[in-house]
Amino acid sequence: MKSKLASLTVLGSLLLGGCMGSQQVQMYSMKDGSTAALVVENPGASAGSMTGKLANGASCRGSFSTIDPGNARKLAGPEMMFTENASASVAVLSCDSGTVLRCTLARRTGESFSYGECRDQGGAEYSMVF
Amino acid sequence: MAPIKNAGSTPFKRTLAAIALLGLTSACASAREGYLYDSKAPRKGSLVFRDARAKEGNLVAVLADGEQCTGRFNTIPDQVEYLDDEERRIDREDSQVGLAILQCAAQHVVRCGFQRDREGSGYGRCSDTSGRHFDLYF
Repeated sequence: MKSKLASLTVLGSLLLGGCMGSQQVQMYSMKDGSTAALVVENPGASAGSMTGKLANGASCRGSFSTIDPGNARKLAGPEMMFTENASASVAVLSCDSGTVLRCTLARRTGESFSYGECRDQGGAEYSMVF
Repeated sequence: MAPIKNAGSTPFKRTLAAIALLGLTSACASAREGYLYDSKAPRKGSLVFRDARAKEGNLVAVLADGEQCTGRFNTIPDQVEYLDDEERRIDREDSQVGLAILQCAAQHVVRCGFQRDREGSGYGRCSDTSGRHFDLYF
């Protein structure tokens, strides 16, 4: 009984650890090649928060949530691919410089993110590979 | 991901870069070489996935003008075999789609969306910060 309880505790810790960590990535501006930093909290969860810092020093804050891959495809550029056998997410980040980033992200279901792209209100694109 | 300085486009340096890419390909059984075809000019560069069967990893490239790039790729499953249809647990990924980002000379970034089969061969489309487009075959 005790060993079963211990096993369940370890399994639960591992599962929670997978959901509750954070994932950091560098975003590349496809306009000028500058880099920005992005941190995703709870990357294995269906929704969570994100923070970022643009190349100009502006801080950004927002959240992501899971959507149907077909809908994500409509929002993303041609090089950003989604499939029905993986998960798609959208995110919106507001930056203190006034920039708003709208992002689409792809990942294996239940795992952390694989890649993504963001666009600001001026049409500038940012790409990332986790 | 530190960029490698532009090696220039002298024939000697380009040959050295090509030899390095070929060496990398032959040294690792799972590495796969591919080509980046400029969509507006009859020229091509080379690209090597260091482990073509890995779900994520590193890659290196030499563009047609000799510019060297390093980068990362990551994938998601496309066509799959399920262990069981009810829980949709994936047993095998028959094909994948992915994104690669290459950092070349300062402020020059190449981005490629691609799809590939289980053996690691595939194709994709790339664009860069200069507004150029490339076709990728590997």
